[in-house]
Amino acid sequence: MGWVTNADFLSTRNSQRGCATSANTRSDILWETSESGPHSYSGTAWIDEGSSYYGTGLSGGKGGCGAFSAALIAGGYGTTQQLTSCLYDGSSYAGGPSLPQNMRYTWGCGTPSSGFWVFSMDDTTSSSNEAYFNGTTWSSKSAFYSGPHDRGVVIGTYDAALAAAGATGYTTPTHDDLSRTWNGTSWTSITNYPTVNRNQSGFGTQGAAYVVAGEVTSTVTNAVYQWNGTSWAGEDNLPDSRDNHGGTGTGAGGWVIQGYTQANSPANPTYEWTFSRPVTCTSATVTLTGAGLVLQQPGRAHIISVVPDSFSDGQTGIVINTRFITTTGATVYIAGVEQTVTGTTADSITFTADKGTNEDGNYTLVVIEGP
Amino acid sequence: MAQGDVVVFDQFIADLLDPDVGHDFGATPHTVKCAVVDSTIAMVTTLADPCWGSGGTTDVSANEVTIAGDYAAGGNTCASPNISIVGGVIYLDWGDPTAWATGTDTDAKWGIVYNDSLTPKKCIAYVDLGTAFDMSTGTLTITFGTPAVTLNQG
Repeated sequence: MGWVTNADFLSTRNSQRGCATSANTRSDILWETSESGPHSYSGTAWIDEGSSYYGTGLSGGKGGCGAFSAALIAGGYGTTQQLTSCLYDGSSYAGGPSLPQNMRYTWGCGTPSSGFWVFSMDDTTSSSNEAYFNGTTWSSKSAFYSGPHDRGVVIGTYDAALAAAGATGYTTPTHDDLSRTWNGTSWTSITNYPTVNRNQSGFGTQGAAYVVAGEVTSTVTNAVYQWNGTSWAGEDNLPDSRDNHGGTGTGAGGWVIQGYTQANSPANPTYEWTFSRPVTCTSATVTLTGAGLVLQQPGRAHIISVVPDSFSDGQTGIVINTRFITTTGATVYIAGVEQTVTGTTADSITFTADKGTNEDGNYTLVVIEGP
Repeated sequence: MAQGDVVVFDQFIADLLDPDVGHDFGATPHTVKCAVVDSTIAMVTTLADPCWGSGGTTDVSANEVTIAGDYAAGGNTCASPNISIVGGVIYLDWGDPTAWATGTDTDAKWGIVYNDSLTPKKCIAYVDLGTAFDMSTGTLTITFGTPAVTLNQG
């Protein structure tokens, strides 16, 4: 689990947050920048799909949901796009109905037949910053999101979503950390996002939501936090810091595309969050010592072990494990005194230490194989 | 232990010294496989005569992850096992198993390398896969070191 760096996007040009839609898989990615039309990802490179741009002029800060072959795009930054929505079918756009209110720097989630849009820079009263699309028409929800209304992120579906952080005000923004869940009818406050933040991105589901990077007051961050349904926890940081970036993914993976760096420079790296488990192994090292050294001696016959490796005078059942020794008829000596062999197998000799010295100490054990 | 650590079973070293067991990583090597077991078994190097299936003291396959998706019973083959001696050091190596992109088991914990040609199927080593891995969430890939195992004379 962690971040994988994918091919750079085709340009860094003025790539203020566009919109990204995806059903998780690479072939389903649709990324539309603020100044160009749809792009897909082949698995190794970005492809300019060449279809005409859905609106006219600049349109950053728009929201999207769905997949490459069926996407819903709405809102955005510009003079005419703030109310605009459209559907993309993998080859061309079809105009959709207008949003119920201007939605610049918005964020969308759900599906093209049940899209849920939250956050609108143009909402100065915190009373009209969400919209619902039922596949045919847009409507405002009755339970307004009363938190920060600009540049937060919403993750999930139209009836199970999570909204996190954002800001109030544009020219002198007040960054916020408020977070709430949405059940299709009402918002419920949850533990605040770990930092104030805006211009972040996100992916996942309501119960496993990943919020990525963004702007913490004047600092662009690479921090990633996951909401697990109960609490926020830090995840692997994005490889670099950025804000105003795209993000997409609805559960089994996620993408982060373009954005701005701390120096306010457009960036084109794209990253993929994967839940896969790559296990890179270290080389195991086995060091043969002690009995293992016996293996290096000339000849094949050897003693593997003596069990137990210390014993008392008179002790019975002492086993000498051997290899390539004729055990039948073998004799065992301790300190030069022959002991009583009580049994043998093909690879062992059992004896009683009944004829050793009466003094404690270390003695030489000698085995002479049988004839 | 940490993710990616490979540990050789003590029994495997002993087995190498026993021609009756008969591991063969020579010119016509035995088939080596890597299977995956769950977290319900505590893997230790001293595991008593670990085998994949019956015939030993410990049947490691009893803890195999759920057979589903890409994951087939017994795991995947580690191609071209071989043994070599370079500069007085013995190397035992094998290829990487094909990754498992789909599965359903939620607590994959250990990779088990074993000799699929022997009867019983003697275990060679185990790999720590890290925290229990939900195979339904992504691909499980095991990449062995080169070589997989080094046998040093002390």
